[in-house]
Amino acid sequence: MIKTLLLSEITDEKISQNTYELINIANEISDEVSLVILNFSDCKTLSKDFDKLYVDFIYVLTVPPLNTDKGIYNIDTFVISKFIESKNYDLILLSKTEYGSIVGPRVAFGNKKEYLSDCVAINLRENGFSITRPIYGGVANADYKIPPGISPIISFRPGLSLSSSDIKHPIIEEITFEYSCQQHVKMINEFNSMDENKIKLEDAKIIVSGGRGIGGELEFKELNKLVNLLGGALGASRAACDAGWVDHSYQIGLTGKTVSPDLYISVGISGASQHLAGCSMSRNIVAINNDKNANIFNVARFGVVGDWKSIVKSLISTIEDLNIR
Amino acid sequence: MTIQIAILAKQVLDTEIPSDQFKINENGNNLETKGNNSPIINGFDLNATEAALKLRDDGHDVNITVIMAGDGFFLDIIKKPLSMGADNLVLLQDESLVGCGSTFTVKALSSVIDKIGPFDIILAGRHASDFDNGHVPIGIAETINLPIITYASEIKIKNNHLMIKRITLNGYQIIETSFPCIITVSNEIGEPRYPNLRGIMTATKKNPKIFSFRDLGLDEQKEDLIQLERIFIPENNLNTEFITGEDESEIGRNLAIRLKEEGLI
Ligand SMILES: Cc1cc2nc3c(=O)[nH]c(=O)nc-3n(C[C@H](O)[C@H](O)[C@H](O)COP(=O)(O)OP(=O)(O)OC[C@H]3O[C@@H](n4cnc5c(N)ncnc54)[C@H](O)[C@@H]3O)c2cc1C
Repeated sequence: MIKTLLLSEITDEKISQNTYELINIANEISDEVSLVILNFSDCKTLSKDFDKLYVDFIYVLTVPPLNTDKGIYNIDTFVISKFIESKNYDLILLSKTEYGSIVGPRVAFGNKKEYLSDCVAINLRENGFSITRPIYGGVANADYKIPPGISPIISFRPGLSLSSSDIKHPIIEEITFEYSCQQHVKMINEFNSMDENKIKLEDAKIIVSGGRGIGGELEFKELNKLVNLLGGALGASRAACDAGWVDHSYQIGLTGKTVSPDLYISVGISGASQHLAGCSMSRNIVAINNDKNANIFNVARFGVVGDWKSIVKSLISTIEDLNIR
Repeated sequence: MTIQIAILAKQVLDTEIPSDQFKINENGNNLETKGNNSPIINGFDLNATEAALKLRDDGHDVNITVIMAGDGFFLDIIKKPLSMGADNLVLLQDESLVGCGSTFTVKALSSVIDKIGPFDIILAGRHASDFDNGHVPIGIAETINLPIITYASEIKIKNNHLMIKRITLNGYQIIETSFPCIITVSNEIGEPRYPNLRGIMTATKKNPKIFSFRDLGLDEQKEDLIQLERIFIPENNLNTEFITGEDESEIGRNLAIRLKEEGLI
């Protein structure tokens, strides 16, 4: 009997999409699935969703006085470690988000457990499990063999599986923890660089993404015209962010955002594996690049070879025409 | 008082090489390049070096020790942090450190720190570009019980306190902490500086201090609990439809029409 524990994430006071994805992954390989929710806000808004979660047990861990230490995650690390101390799971899964990339290894190494990050597949073996994870930014994949009985912690790349809608009526248990460690690390301030009124990259159906080939900050404004016309969101490669043309919060890729829109229009981006790691799950990729050998064409459904400026200009005017008609 | 800074760095394959120039090595446990490309120091580790040197630029009295674990080191390449301005280079050298699991890397690096420390600040790149794990510095923090702050894009010292600008997905945070701590550094800290001639001269004269497992009382590595089974390069069989036309203006128009036909816009 395989028992799996999932560490959930809450975004905008809702159970995150990533958590639903984890639930699906877990159900395919487990007999019993438990979900941990750290309760930092009022759980009442959340609990409406509980019946939608296809799990057997939900543990709501409450830590008075309900304040988080986002970005540092001492509280999460402490509480989750305490919780798993008294339990026995075959697998502990979480998402490879900013949260997961910190809390996962902290809990694992703090409790002498094995840790694997950024997995894209897990399979049951006769004896244990096997997982697959990309390496070298996605140039290759590596398979690892996990023996039974070691209870590893594994993070999964977001965007892998769509959520199902079955209902299971989980058993819900609330547990209160006391946390009183002295804080040597303090968050003084937090700033959001994204425009709150714009569509979030993660939610956008259409993304237009620019790279080093765009050439400058002013030129990015040209690209923004296309973004606005399509009602999409703007993205960028790391080279464009590093050049200071756009804020790093627009970066897509291994160390930026992971997106999966219906349409991803990449402009002046070469298609380095680390960039593709963040966008290759897009349903349709259009690549505009003046180098016909650019790697981006290997993942593009539609390829356009040429200078982006003239192409985007005529793309914009044609779309305007088509929209009027 | 001199501030002791350690930088954890790794020698990796050059990731700027196009992805079709990589192949699986003979042992099947790592990649290698098809050409005769020399390795590099992991980019984020050079960012970490830059972060340490910026503290010196700010007027702080810092002593910077670069620590690397691995084997098959290219001396001229791993001396780059020294030529940028770091003071010492320490190597933990053993064959079994190449391609081992991160549990063992954490243990090995923790014992080096234990042996040559203590340090006030331990810096590391946010992740290594070969196995893209990013949890070794976090694992060390948990092992030697230090606070960990991730993804720094700026580090300042004021009255023995550290102020760290930390990159988040949508912006940044300002975090305050005290010595000692571990900080992982992101590329937003700025390009690593180019070594100047004097730096290069100084680096040629310096030799790394080399430790073996025996020196640290480390046992030979037992097998990783979780074992790498195979590496494979995924097949790509997407058929790209290239949009053509008389000139770029027509190509742009044809693209718009195709996207409209497909209901994508
Ligand atoms: C560990 C690690 C993590 C990384 N994480 C990320 C990440 O999260 N996201 C990311 O994006 N990168 C990441 N990178 C960097 C990545 O390897 C590439 O360096 C980067 O993606 C390159 O950006 P680019 O495609 O914009 O620039 P380039 O590779 O320089 O490509 C520019 C392209 O523009 C084309 N071009 C130039 N002029 C024109 C024109 N007038 N019209 C049309 N096309 C033109 C060129 O042909 C070229 O293909 C990471 C690297 C490492 C090592």
